[in-house]
Amino acid sequence: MNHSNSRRAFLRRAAAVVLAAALLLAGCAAAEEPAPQQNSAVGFYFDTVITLSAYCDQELLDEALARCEYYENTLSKTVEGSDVWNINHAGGQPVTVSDDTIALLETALRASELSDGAFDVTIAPVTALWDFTSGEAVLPDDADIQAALPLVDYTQIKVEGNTVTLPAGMMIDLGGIAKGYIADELAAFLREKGVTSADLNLGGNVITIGRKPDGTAWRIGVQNPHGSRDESILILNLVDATVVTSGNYERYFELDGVRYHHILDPETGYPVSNGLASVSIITQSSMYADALSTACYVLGLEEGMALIEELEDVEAIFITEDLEVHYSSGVVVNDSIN
Amino acid sequence: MKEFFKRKDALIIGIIVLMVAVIAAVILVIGTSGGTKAHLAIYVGDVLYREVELGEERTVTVNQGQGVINKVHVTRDGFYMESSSCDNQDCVHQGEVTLDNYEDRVLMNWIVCLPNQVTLELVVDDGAEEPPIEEVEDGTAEE
Repeated sequence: MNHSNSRRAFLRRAAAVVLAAALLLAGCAAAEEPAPQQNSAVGFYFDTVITLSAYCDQELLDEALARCEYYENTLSKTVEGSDVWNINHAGGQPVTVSDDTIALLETALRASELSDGAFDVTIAPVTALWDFTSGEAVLPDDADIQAALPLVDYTQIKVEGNTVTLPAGMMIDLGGIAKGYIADELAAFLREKGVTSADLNLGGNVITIGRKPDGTAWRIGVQNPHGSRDESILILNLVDATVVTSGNYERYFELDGVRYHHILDPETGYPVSNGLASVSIITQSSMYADALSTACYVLGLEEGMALIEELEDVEAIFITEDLEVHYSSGVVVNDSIN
Repeated sequence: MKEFFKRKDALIIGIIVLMVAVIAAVILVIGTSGGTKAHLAIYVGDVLYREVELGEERTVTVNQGQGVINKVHVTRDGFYMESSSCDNQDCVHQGEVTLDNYEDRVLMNWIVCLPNQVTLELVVDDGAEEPPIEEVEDGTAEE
């Protein structure tokens, strides 16, 4: 074989190899397992909206959403016959409740102990005196607040097995952490069913499963306390994590130039005023994050941050009224918008 | 010893490689992304009320009767709540959702009118599947 022939043969082979590689590449793209379609489900429970977005079958999301009705009927203080309604109306008698209610109560009590009562699940008698939703700016009578304060004491709750006893006159409200609990349960349900990519939002409690299909983390914005309803002050990258924020901009009214917001101090019965605008908790359990965000808001920047630094796998972002942002030691922030 | 390659040979190989690379890139881009397409999904309560293609600017009205009305302004790449009969007008102040901003919004790709239980979602199709799009006549959608 002379050089000319071998060269032509080589060129043919080279062209064939390159073309084959291209076709293989294209073939890989065409034959690649299609990622599950992103689907969504929406529902209204606990006076808020629940949006579930996941890369899985629609039926699975609908099944997950349907579980919310059970949780509402079990955990809502306003649904007659729910566990919480039964506890609050038992007149001091023991009440047998579901495992879900016990799990919530135990977390609530743990958060109460950790925060030395800054989070108190028995604050319901005081909360009931305030109206942050009607749009009318009316202060409750101070005498009523003072009369209700002795009924706020989480140490009076007795839990034995699935039996709960609450002194007559006291009330519990699990609404503050129920959304977190349900978020955890829905995420666990979807994971069990093999879902590897999802973001669930239960009235501001965001929990993520895995990453987006393109491998990037879920981007979750943290509300600018002074911005419009949808303005982020920073973006978090979350993978298999939850973020829950308590802020003084969520529900409030203004009277004589003073903002009265919905985060009440269990010691005074009045809205907390310590220079904080919001506290966001980032961790694995949305229920725990729910309780800790309230507790840390009440505790304030210094004590709240100290509490967070004592806890494992829990991070926090404190934003002050003058928009100073304070991060706990392990927070990962993608970028700052403002 | 003669050269195995001539300059012309290298040029031919180079052209083939370049052409193949371009073809492969085009196939990959089209095959994997299909371009970013998106549409608006409107929910009333937990029911998917209708899906609307983005495009020409127009207003879609969601009329639940008894004075419960939301008007959604649809644009080429997004939408916003133009007006609502609700008390708090929170949804009207949630800004616009677009393909460019939805990843940076607190509410991500959603706008929510809690009192009227109307929820708007920007559904990014990722080219995976053509969404079922309902035609909107005269810019209104009434049941």
